[in-house]
Amino acid sequence: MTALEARSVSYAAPGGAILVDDVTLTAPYGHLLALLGPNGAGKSTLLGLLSGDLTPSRGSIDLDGRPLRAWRAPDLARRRAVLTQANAMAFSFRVHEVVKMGRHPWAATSTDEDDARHVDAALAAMDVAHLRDRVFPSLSGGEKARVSLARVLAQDTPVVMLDEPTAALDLRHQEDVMTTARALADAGRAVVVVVHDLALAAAHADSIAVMSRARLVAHGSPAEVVTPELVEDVYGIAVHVVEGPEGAPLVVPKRGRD
Amino acid sequence: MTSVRATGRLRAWLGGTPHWVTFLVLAVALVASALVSAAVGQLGVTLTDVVGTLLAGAGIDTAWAPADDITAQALWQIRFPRVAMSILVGTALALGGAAMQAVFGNPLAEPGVVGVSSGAALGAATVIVTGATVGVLGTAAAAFVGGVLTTILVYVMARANGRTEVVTLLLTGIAVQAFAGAGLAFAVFSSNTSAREQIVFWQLGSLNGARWTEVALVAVLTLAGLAALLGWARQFDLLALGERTAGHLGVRVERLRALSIVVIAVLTAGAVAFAGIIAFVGLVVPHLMRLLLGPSHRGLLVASALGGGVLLCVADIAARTLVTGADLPIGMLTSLIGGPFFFYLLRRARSSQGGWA
Repeated sequence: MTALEARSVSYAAPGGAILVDDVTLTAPYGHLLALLGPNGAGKSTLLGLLSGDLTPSRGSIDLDGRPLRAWRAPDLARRRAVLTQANAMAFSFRVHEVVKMGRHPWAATSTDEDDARHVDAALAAMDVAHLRDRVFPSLSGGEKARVSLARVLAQDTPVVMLDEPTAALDLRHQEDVMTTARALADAGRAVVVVVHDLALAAAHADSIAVMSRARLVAHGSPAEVVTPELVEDVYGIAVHVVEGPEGAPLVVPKRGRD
Repeated sequence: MTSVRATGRLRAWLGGTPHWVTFLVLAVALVASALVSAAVGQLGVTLTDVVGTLLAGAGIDTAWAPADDITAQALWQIRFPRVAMSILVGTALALGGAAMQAVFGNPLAEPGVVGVSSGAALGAATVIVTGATVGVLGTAAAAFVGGVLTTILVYVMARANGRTEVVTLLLTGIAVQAFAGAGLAFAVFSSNTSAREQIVFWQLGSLNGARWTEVALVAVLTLAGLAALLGWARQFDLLALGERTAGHLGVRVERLRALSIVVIAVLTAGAVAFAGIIAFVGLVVPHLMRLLLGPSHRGLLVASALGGGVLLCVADIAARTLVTGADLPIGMLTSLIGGPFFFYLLRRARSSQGGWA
């Protein structure tokens, strides 16, 4: 079943620059969709459109078959959760308080026990349970990213959108985050993740969509998309694509002395 | 049993045991400072006179009730309204500050920053200069209208593409304040000596001559404001995550912000209209309470309401007793003590938590 469906979506910034140009894309339930592309290709803008933060200049976006614009904010918050790149926090809230904020959309229906259970599970999944009484602004960049992600998990929505959740993370926590995203998809949720690491995306995603200069240039299974030609075309760098020990492709820049 | 359950629920709602102690201490401090404030001054009244008069007013005759009617009347007509006004003004200013910091996600925001005080001052000055015989209530009404209009003007001007950038809002506030300052300067320049004096003293701030009708007005505004803000407390918490993320969690950020601005403007303008410009209460009381209780807004708003009342009540005692025979401008006092104290707070927070921003 389709969660999100974008049809011929374009977005022009207030200054007139076209940041997303005629993109058609679907994100089904039970599916992990990775959004890739060079810096400034329009990935975050596309995610902003899919999450409803931005209104398309042209085209339409449906969530569960209903136009995104027709959703009320509180209903939307029970359907989809979003992790943005900014981990801002204006005041010194503690980690468990921040994660509990993710439960806000359910305040009317959820019990305290339910909330506590979701918060604890999210803290454990992101390996931040030991930080629960720390003050959020005092955390390191990677810790903040994981706590923010725990907040998104606590929101417990069928659609999950993550904008560069692995950006500030070390190797192990990158893998943890993608494994968690994979598990969410396996549990039937629609997951859209913006990542930079081609190998990481290829190892975990069901499909990869590649953006370049505001356009969607490829969308398919990791094996179809991650090819030396496409990577060279999009990123402007020559690479080897080799089969990794577990089958997923690895991407290595050509560094040979020639 | 039910009362135990209700207390437990109230406790959970306010967020934990330590808060409970803080609220109790603040409430006791408020009552104590109010009684002391009613007793000090030139009148020669004792604390027991105050308590006795209050009890007599409630229909309970005690030995403490003052023997002569004049003392009781003086207390009811001069002291009590002044004490009540000081508490209400402090509460309103502190609440306005706490709410504005929440709305902007910036612990340094203050209603004065957005131009409420300047607009109110301009409104009051305009009425004073034109020499319209409208009395104290008329001047206050003009100040109130000036404050609310300025706030809404700043807010509308700072909006672009359906959203309000915090920085734009603050900068617009600065521009509008400059304009209001110019208007105020012109009013002072073009007025006669007595009007000039009136404008200057109005700006200095004073609780002298507060009357029950005024107290009732401010009380209604303050309580209504408190109720509205408490209803939004959870959403204020989410705003700390940034407006985008708050939106993702179901908060209608623009709507919340617009409604909050109106409430903040009414709270602050209402207080400023009757007491003149009293700076810094809205800045430091919420800060102090945040240090004590943490940033969660339910507890913070309640504590700020109590703390603001205590602070201004104590400041008013100081205003009347520091210099014998003189009623110092209370706005001057709060800034005099508050400015350096705020510096100290800033530095302390910077070294212990890496700052507020």
